[in-house]
Amino acid sequence: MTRHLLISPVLLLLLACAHLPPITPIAGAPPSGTGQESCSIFPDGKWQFLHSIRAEMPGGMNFVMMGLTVMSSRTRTSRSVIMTLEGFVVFDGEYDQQLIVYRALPPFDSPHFAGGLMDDIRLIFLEPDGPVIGFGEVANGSVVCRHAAPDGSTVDIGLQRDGAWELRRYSPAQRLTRAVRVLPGARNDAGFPETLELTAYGDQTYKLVMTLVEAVQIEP
Amino acid sequence: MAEYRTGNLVRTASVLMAACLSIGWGGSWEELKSAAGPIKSISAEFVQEKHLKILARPLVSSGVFYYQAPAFLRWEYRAPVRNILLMNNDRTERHVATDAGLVKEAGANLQAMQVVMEQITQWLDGRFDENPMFAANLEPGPKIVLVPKEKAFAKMIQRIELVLSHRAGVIDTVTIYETDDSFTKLVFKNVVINQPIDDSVFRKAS
Repeated sequence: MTRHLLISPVLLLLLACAHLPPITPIAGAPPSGTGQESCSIFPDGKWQFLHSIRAEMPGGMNFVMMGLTVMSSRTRTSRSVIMTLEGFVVFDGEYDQQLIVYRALPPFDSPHFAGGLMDDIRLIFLEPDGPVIGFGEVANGSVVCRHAAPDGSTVDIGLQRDGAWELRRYSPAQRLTRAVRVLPGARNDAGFPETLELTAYGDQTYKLVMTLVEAVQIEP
Repeated sequence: MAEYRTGNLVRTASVLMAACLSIGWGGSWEELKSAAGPIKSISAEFVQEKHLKILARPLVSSGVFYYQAPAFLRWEYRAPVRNILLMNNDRTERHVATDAGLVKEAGANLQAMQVVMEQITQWLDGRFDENPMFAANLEPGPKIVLVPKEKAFAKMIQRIELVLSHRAGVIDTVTIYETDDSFTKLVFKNVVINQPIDDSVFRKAS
């Protein structure tokens, strides 16, 4: 147990130091299902998602909340509501070209939290801002679509042959800041992954394990 | 009490919902107090609807609830996410179902729950009009409307409405309004009063 406790911070530290990996172009025709079109992993249309979110915070603190997300791929807007398990709204915010906070109760009332949360939501549910600047393989064998975001960050969409995928966001200094991992396997009826795992690196490390409760399509 | 943290809010509401179940049918505060007096234990099933303006349809949860005087409470959601809030005299904890089984939350702010526990006997006595946190109005129906006295608390909960059942000692619904278009409605059924409840219900999150 002690060994495990020691290893985890070291791993996190190493991952936090991870840099943007080079991409090797895929020789010849890409294998079926690994062309750039397969990087379109994000929900299309307007959807309402409800997740249970287990947060693992520094210092061993952990808690579970409910996360409601309404997003539209066409308008590139998102509304996020965080609730206690009893249904009390502790945060309600929207991103529609700018961040609007409708409700934020302690300890979710800092501007840093609101901005970070909405950034995480957009990373998970919306195709990255900015053009694709690279496509190919990285060292771990994943096929990657690389987006250059207007703020100078880079987002890699990594696809694995077993159907798993991963999003990795790098700072303008090319350091890893976020990773979203989708494990292969269970999908709901609409094809959404049952479990997502978001890890934040850098000054404030945390992990969110998001388990899908329901997905409702509002508009096609 | 000028500031209320989220944990306090949740637990306050949970205990309040629990206490509300023990209200006897009556048309005056005195009748409520009189009817609530003999109640020593309660259990019930509940269905909870969360309404928000942005929701395509309400979020529905369900579970069970147990209370034993003087200060034992188990508030358990069984769907969609199983979790159990246990309050046992001076100890309060929450357990949440994960892939690894039920996991106890660590680091949650539970200290203020003791304040709430001190008030529960007031509520179970039907003394809603004596609660320092809420101004209580008894309206036709009969219905009780609780409005927070403190501005800080009112930012979190606008009001709570309790609709009493025709059966003495039972209420039909509790609706907690955060705003006019954000509210949680609890509908209770199969309410059992003053039946023995095993101690393990309040001690073990299994």
